[in-house]
Amino acid sequence: MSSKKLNKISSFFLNLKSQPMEIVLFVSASLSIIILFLMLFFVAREGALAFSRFGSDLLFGMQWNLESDLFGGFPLLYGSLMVTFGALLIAIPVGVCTAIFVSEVLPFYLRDPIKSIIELLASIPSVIYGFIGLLIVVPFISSFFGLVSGQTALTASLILSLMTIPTIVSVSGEIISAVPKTYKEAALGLGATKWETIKTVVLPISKSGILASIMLGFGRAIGETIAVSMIAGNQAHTPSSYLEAVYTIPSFIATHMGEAAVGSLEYSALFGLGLILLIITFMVNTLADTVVKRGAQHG
Amino acid sequence: MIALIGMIALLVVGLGIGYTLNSGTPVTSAEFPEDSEWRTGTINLAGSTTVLPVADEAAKAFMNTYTGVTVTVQGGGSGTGYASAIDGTVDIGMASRGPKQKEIDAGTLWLHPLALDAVCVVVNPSVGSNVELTLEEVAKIFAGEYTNWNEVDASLPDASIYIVVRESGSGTRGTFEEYTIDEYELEIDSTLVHEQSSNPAVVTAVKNTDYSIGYVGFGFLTNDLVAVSLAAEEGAEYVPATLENIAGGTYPISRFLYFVTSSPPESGSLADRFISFVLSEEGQDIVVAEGFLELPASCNYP
Repeated sequence: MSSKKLNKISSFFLNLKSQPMEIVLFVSASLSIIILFLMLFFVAREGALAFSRFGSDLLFGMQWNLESDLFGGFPLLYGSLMVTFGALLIAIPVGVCTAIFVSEVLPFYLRDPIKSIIELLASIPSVIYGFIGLLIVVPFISSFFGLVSGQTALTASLILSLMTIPTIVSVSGEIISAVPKTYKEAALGLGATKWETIKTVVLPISKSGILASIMLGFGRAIGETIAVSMIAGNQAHTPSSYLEAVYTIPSFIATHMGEAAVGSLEYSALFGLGLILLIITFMVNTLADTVVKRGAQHG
Repeated sequence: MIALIGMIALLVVGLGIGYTLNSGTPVTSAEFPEDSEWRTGTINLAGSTTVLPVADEAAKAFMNTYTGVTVTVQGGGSGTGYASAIDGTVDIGMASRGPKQKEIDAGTLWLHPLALDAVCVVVNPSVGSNVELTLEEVAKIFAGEYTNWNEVDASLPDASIYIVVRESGSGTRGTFEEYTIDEYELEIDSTLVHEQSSNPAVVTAVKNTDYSIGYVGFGFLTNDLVAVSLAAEEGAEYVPATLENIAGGTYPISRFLYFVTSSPPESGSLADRFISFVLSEEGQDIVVAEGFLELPASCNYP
C-alpha cells in the first residue's frame, strides 16, 4: 500500500469524529459490498457442492428427473442462450438506430421527451411484460405461424428485446451525445453530409460504448425470470427452431425452488444452475466494464 | 462516532427490553382454571407430506385459539405416519393412503379421514367434448409413448399431443404419477413436457393450447376444460370427474387423507379435540385453502 493511500485512510478516520454523516455513508456503502460478497459466497458454496455432486452432468445432461436423480441442465442453458441471442438480434439494430436517431437526428426540443419515454419502458415491471406477452403476443404468434401454442422461443425473444431496447438506447445514446461537437462540425465543414458524419465520426468514436450497452442488455435479457416463464412454454429440450417452446435457467429455478426441500439433491442442483447463470452474467459485465474503460481512454 | 455508539446502544437497549418483556409474560395454566389439563398438553404429529400443510396450518390456528397447547407437526411420509402411530412415538400419524396389509397386521389402527384429494386429467376442448381414457393410456401419453392423439384412439384427432405437467416435487404431480406413471413403471421425459408452476397456470396453458393435456386438483376444474373420464383398467367403466364419484371412491385418481391413531382418542383429550377441530367448519376451510376437497357430508368412509 502506498503511503499516499495510507495517508488518505488515516485522515479519513481522523475526520470521523467531526463528520457523523460520513459514518452513515461509510456504513451504508460497506453494507451493500458486504451483502454482495455474502451472496457470491453463498451461491458459490452451494453451487460448488452441486458441481462436486453432479459434475459436468449439470452442464451437459439432458434429463431432469427427481425419481432417477438426474439433474441435467443443458436444455436450460441452451434455452437461456437461445432466447437471449434472439432478443439481442432484434434489440441491437433497433436500439442502436433509435439511439442515433434520438441523439443526432431529432430536433433538440424533442430529444429529452422522447428519451424519457423510452427510458420509461425500462421501468415497467417485468410481470407486466409477461402479461402483454401472454395476452397479445402469444395468440398472435400462434395464429400467424399456425402453431398449436404461441408460447415459443420467438415470443420470449420478442418480449425480451422490448425489455432490452431501453437499456441499449439510453446507454449508447449517452455515449453518442458525448461525442464532442467540434468533431462533428469539423466533418460537416469538410463537406460531409449528416449521414457521412454519423458513419465516419460519431459511430467509430462511440463504438466501445455501444458495445458496452449491448452487454448490459445481454445481462438484462439472460436474467429475466417471470416474463419469460409466462410466455416461453417451459419445455426443457433443445429446439432447432425459434417456433418451439424453451425453458430458461431463471424461470426453471423460480418454478422449482418452492418445492425443493432444503438440503435435497434438487436444491443443490438448482444452486448449481444459479452459479452457472451468475458466472455468465459476471463475465459479460466484466467484459463490458473493460470495453468501456478502454473506450474512455481512447476518447 | 457518537452516532455509531448511539446506534449500538439503541440496539442493545431494544434487544434487552424485548428480551425482558418476552420472558416476563409467563404462560401458565392458572389462566385457565377449569378443564386445565389438556390446555397445557402437547401432541405430536408425523407422516405424509401431503397432509403436512393442512396439519401445519390447522396446528397454528388451533394453538392460536387455545393458547398454551403445543402441537408439533413433522413430515416423513405415510409409511412413517402409520409406523409411528402404531409404536406410539407420535400421538397422531398422518397418511395419504390406506394402510397396507403389513401395517394392519402390525397393530390396531384407527383411521380418521380429514380430507379428499383428487387429481383430474384435463384436455383442451379441441381433443373432444367427451374424452375417455384408461389410466394406462394416460400414463403412456404423459411418458411420451403416444405422441399423436389418434395413436391413442382412432376417434381422436390427428394432432400431436401437447403435454402440460407440474414441476417436479409438487404434491399434485406426486399424486398423479403415483396412480398413473409409477403404476405402469414409466417415467416422465423432461424434454417432452411443458412445466407450469401452479394449478391455475396449468388451467391457462391447457385452455390456450389446442390438443393439450394436463392435470389439476379437482377444485380447479373450469368449463373451458374437458375433464377426462377415467377407467382404472381396460374394460372397466369410464368414470367422469364429479364430486359424487370422488367421494364414492370410484374416480381412480382420488384418495382420502387420514389422521391415524393406535386407539380411539379419549373424548376430551387433546388429540380428540385437534381431530375434531380439523373436521370442524374452520378446519375444513383450511383443508380447502390448501387445495384439497372437504369431506362430503355423507359418504362411505372406507
